[in-house]
Amino acid sequence: MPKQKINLWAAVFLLFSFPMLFGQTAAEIIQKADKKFRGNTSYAEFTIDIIRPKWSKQMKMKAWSKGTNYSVSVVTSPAKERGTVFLMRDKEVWNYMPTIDRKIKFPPSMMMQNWMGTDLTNDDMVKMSSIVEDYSQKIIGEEEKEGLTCWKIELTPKENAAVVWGKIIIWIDKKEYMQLQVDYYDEDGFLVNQMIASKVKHFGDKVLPSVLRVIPQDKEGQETVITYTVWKFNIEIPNSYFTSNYMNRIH
Amino acid sequence: MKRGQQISPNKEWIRNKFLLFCVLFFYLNLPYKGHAQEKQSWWQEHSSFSGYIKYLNTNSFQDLQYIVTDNLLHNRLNFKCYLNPQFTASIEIRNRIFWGNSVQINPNYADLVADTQSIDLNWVLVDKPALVMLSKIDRLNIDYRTDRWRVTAGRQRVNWGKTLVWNPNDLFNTYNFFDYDYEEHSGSDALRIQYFTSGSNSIETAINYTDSWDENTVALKYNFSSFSYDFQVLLAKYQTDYTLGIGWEGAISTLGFKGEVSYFMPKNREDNSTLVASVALDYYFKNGVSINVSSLFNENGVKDATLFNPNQFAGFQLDPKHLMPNRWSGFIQASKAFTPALSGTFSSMYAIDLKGVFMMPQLSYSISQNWDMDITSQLFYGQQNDTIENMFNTLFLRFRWSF
Repeated sequence: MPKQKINLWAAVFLLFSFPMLFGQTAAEIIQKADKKFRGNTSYAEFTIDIIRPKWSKQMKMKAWSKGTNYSVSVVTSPAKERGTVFLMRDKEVWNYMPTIDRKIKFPPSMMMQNWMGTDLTNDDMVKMSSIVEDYSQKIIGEEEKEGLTCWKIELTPKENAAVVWGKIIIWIDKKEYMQLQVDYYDEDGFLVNQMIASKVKHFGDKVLPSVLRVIPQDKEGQETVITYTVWKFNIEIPNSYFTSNYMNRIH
Repeated sequence: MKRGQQISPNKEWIRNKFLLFCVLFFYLNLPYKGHAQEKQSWWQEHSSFSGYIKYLNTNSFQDLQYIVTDNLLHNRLNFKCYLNPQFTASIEIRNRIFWGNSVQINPNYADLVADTQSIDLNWVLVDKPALVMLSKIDRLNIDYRTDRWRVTAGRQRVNWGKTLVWNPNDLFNTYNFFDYDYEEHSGSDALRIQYFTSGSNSIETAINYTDSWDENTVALKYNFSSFSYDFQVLLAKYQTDYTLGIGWEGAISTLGFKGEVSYFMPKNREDNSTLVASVALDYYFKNGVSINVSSLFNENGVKDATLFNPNQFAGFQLDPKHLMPNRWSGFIQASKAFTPALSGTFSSMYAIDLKGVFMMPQLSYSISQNWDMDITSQLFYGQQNDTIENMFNTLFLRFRWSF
């Protein structure tokens, strides 16, 4: 074999094995974590506790998702809101209200509103995956969370990206690729929201945190706790589930 | 129930039994529901039961010479049975008990609040000078559904509105913004057939049953999405008018933009055609405040204040052709959720040609998981002898327990 050809093969080998030798990039880690959390399709049942210093409310929901662009969820409790459906298709959102049998399209400005009184915005609910597209990622260290070694990754918005946060720091564990903590900073660099994951459990063949707490930093005694009771991945969900025509059938 | 009809003791007994059955059914179902969590029967898996009990206290006054106080205990029972993946049967019953000054003053109070339709599913259970009790089935339908088709037959709500306040496209169950305590609204006795051409596009037709052909509505509607807008185009015979309509939901930049236009052409060519159009903009601010601004044009509406008595405003009968008695109207609503439990809304309607103003401040509080309360006020101002004067006020206090 001519020497030149060997060199070429060596160069190709080196090029492809480089990331393997020196670890994954921050973007790959986030993508992998996001994919794990989402699956190709997913079905979940969860409770949402809205906690305020002198008041609390519990909601129960079921949700179906397909890829990153389609999801539909229905409120099963409390009684007053039961049957309310939210459909997210790409970046559009519809809301179906069973009492008046009507679906309403959310205006774009509504995306920044808190979603059903929680500490999450509608935008958070729809665009959880856009952190991969809209931000540049960089590994800035290693820390322990929930007893697991995590990559600490910093995300900064790409130029001209229409995003809400000035900076995001994510902790992803090295073994199971779970997002164990996310800190959201505003454009002035102040910590605004913190999402802390805990109670790691087996959901089918996946290991995931079953409790997510969203804690706004400037409001004492205030948080939203999401507890997953059922979580299934890569199950068969018909495409019709994610259409506005199907909304009044989701229950 | 026919107006002024005497109820025989035997009929009354049957009606009371029927109500007792409804109440018993509800209470017997409650513990069963809790128990069913461990092991679900066919019945539990294929049915849903919900509803509420509301208490509404109403105080009406103009000046404080006297206050008319009324009470309403209002129970709603919603029952659905998912017979199989295609068929769903629904029945919804509304039970109301009225007492107070208005009941006492008005000997025909039961007739006034009965909301009678061509097919009568109303029952007057008690009609005494001090107390009136009524029951009404306002939904009773069978729904058949496949991937492409949906057929609903029976009493149902056919809601074709797109905007918040005025809905010229909503030909079957016209929404009345003033009647805030009955968000479900009366049903239409109708046959509705929908065909889904794709995920968001569909074509549908609906016809309702009324005593005479001149009172009924037959309509064909095409729904489609284009340029991130949801559109509907409709063609109808609305009572004695041929009707063309278009409605849309979309956005101009970040501003929500919705509208409905209907053009009514009377079959009798001597009558004038009417254009009714409503356009609305809404915006949600980051601090939780939302604003809705709407306008209504009703070509046949009253143009001159001298032709209209503002006192008639409160008793005005609403339909898609006459959403307001006058020609030009404006509406503004601002809402804010102060906390997840406490929210406030201020709505104001202005009948421009009549110089009439309606204001509705509302404060809602969620007491606990299934308990809610709100305080609402409705204030009417109108032109009297060249000045705008307070015409009528109502203060509502409402408690609601949902199950």
